[in-house]
Amino acid sequence: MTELITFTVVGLAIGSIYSIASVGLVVTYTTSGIFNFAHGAIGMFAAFIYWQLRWDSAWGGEWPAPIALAFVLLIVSPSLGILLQAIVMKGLEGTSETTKLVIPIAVMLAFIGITNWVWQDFESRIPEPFFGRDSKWELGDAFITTHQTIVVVVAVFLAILLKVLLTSTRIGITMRAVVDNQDLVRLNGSNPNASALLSWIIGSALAGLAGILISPLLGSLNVLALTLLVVNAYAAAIFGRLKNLPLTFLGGIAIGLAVSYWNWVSGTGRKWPWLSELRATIPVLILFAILIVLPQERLRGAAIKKHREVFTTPTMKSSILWGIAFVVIISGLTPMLETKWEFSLSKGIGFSIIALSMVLLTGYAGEINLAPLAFAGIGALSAYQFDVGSTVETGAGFATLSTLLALLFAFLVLSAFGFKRKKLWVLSVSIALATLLLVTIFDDTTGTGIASRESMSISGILVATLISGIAGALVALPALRLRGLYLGLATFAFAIFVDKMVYKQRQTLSLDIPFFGDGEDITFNIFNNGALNMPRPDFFGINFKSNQSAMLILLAISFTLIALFLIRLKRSTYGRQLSAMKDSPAASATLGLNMLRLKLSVFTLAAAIAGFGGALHASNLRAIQEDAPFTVFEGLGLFMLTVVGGIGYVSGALIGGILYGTAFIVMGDFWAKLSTDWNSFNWLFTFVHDFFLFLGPAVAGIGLGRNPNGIASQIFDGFRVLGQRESRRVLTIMITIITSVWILRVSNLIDGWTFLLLSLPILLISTLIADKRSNLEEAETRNWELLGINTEISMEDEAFLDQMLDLGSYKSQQISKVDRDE
Amino acid sequence: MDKPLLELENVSTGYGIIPVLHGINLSVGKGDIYALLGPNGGGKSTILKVCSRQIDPWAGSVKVAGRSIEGIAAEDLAKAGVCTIPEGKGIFPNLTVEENLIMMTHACQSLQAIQSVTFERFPQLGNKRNQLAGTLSGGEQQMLSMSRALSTNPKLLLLDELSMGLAPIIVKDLYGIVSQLAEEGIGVLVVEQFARTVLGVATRAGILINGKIISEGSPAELEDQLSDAYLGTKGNV
Repeated sequence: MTELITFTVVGLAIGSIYSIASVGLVVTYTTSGIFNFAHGAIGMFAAFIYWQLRWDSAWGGEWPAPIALAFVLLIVSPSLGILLQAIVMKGLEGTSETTKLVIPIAVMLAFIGITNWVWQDFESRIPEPFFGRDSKWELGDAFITTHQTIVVVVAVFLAILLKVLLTSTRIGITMRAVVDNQDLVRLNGSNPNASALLSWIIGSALAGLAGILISPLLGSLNVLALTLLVVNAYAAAIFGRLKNLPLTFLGGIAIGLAVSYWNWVSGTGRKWPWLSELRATIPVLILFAILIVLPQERLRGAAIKKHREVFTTPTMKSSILWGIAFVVIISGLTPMLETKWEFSLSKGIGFSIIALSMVLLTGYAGEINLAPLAFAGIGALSAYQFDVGSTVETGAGFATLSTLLALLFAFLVLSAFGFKRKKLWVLSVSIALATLLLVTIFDDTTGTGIASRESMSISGILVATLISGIAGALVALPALRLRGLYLGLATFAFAIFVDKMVYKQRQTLSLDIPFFGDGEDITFNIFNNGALNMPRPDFFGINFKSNQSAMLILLAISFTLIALFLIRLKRSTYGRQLSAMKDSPAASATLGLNMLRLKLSVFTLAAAIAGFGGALHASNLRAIQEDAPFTVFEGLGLFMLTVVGGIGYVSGALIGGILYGTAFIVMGDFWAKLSTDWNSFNWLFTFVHDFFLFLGPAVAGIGLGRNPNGIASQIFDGFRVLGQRESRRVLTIMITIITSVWILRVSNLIDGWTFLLLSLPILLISTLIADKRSNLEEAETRNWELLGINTEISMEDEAFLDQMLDLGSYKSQQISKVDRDE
Repeated sequence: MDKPLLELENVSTGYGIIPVLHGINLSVGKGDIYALLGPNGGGKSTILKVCSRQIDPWAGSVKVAGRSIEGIAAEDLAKAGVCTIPEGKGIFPNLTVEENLIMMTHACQSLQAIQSVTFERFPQLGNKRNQLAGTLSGGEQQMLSMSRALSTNPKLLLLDELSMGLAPIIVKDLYGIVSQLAEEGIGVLVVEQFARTVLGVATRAGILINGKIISEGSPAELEDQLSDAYLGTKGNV
């Protein structure tokens, strides 16, 4: 009984905090239509400031609790809300769903970055509960702390207050009306910006309150843990379907109780070692479950948006040329780059390969996936286990496994490609058999003890691709009917699940595959000690272990091949079906498109690409840890920067990956180098260095995430003139000069800086020259498409149009026919 | 005659770089019902958006009661007595009927006054005051949006496609209200594709094609030109 009371009270208290946070989330969502991913981060930030004011010895500290509370909740958090609304969120009405997700994610990363920057050292910061740790009262045999009591009372009070505000006051009703139709609110005579501002103020204050209340329950302040804890409020918010406040409140309490009772039953996770991390995942499991049980959204037609994304598909020919150019440029760079820089660059390209999975899934098919790195992590883990990690009695188990996976994979994908019945089966089975052959004969897994190989094998990568592909299908299966934000949240839940349940898993798994060997065939430790040493590959007679250049080129070639495959896919029937599904699910359904099959296959393919990329990327890094590089936050960062790059383009994936993996780190290094060279400006360079390191990605996201087409298209538009027929001469001259400069560099006649200083201007100048030339030619031809837009069409214009459209002969035929008839 | 309630002088505008209206001249006086007719894509709704300050004119001037409305916020114009009922139902679907009425109080009327006018004119809305507006029938939704015109005492009423998707009998009823409002001295500018109904109540009419008013006159005069305008036999010359 005492235990029951204790765990109930703990659950109620933590549930009340979830409720406060989720109610704040719902208020901003219902009034702005934006799901504030930064909500948890705002709470985390407020908790840090509160700690600073109350307990820090160096600055602040010793503020009395009421004053510190009032300062944080009435001044800091509301100002954050005002800033967010005025600077960031205001322009988001009418933008695409992706943009509405990316901007709050960028804001969240910005808060995490700022907090990491300001509170840099690893000092342990322990906030105290209200009235100290010893203030408690008795209920039966159980003790209830004053902090817990305050939390519950405040939560109930706030819930009632907000309900009254939103349903019974005019400003509250206006806040809700703004979501329905901003323009109509104006026509009714009210300024929608004012009510949106109020809702952001309330939302941030509630997030801050939740952060302050929850931090004493966690021990030392931790940026990511605090941010993620308020993420648990997402589940409660979804429980209230993002609009119903009482249900949201109850949802928060229920989640708190569920977590607390699980702790009770499992002895804080000790009873079942496999499930030891489950308590951290219960809220996201609930989130996933609620999303799936929610009534199905009606198929919608194409929505009219302010900002349209326009993704053009490049022709196959130009893509192949660009692909070759890319590989040539990367190979050309290798002789002049130090290994350190090669490694940075290959890291970026590794992320780019994973980002390609988002181009397919989000850019082409319009399905939002916030867990790209979870699939990549599964891929890396599978490759590791296949090649190194496991103890195997007989390799036949692996062979069977990969054949079955290949069969399933081929079936899923091919059926969506339009293969039917006999053809489908024949093809799938032959692909499965080919896999079996590869794995057994060419890669020698039938013998005993393939484990502890010292290099990554082709079949290891293949198995990684297959396993993550099937994992993608498994995740997609329940989530098939979700779209947009809801799908994003479901995948987000999956990413957190993988973070907690897979990366933190220390158990040993033994499998007995029937008919082979005796006893347990395969034994492996899932995530050994929180770090895995990934092997480098060793195939085609090349040893990639010590040769970073070869690894870089391998990654570049892999990227190019997958990118070309995606462009080919986009131009096929399958690609057009994806576009149709993205533009208007309703129209696609009426055309008889089987969207279930389509979605399942595109999820499978995308997850497989991510898994492949993950395996290669991890192999390049040589090691993966439980907290890097495949965690949920890194996934959000990569997603954000891919959108910045242009999620509808493979080049956008390249830019996103390189920005994420290379650019900010290299820039940081650059400034760090400057600060050691120029000691007197040390403070300035250190500041710039820290800025790039902590805030670079977030600032890029906030600044550029709004352009739904990404920066890839702008960059390519700039260089497009070079590809035109007229500028072929300029192109040849440019390539010749750059190649000769390159030869000078490789033969060590000039240094790297001279190379850069020579080749970049040549690139720019030749683009400018080509642009000038094509402009001159364009001026000679009239823009006949634009005739008649500004002025009336004259007879002369009409004759010109006829000539351009080749209608002259047609018209004269008509006239002569009329003449004859008369 | 005193100043017209709404006066457009040589107004041109468009969206982004695409021009829609080319030099519109138009005036609506007290008690007038000006019917703006024409086929799709002619710029009818754009004229209403310029008048209600939802978009800026590129050139020319828009005057309400003799004063230029340049730089005035849309919400202030609404408060000053310009009531715009936009295309599609001008209601908030996720608010209840009652909450929709509360939103109308932003135009400086008391809730009691709005409720009594609305429920007297449309008793069926009174029975559904706690129902979500989005779940009302199409006709009821249009009634709810019209009740803003009725109850907030506007001086100028701008109506966009009142008849859209409604049964003829309801349309007739709604236009009855419009002419009643005009008799009380309100100026009305109504945009319609469904021309015959509105010509019955209009005092003046204009045909708008490709961003220009190609002819203007009494409803009877325009009736003959309508089929030409809609079928495009004359319009594009």
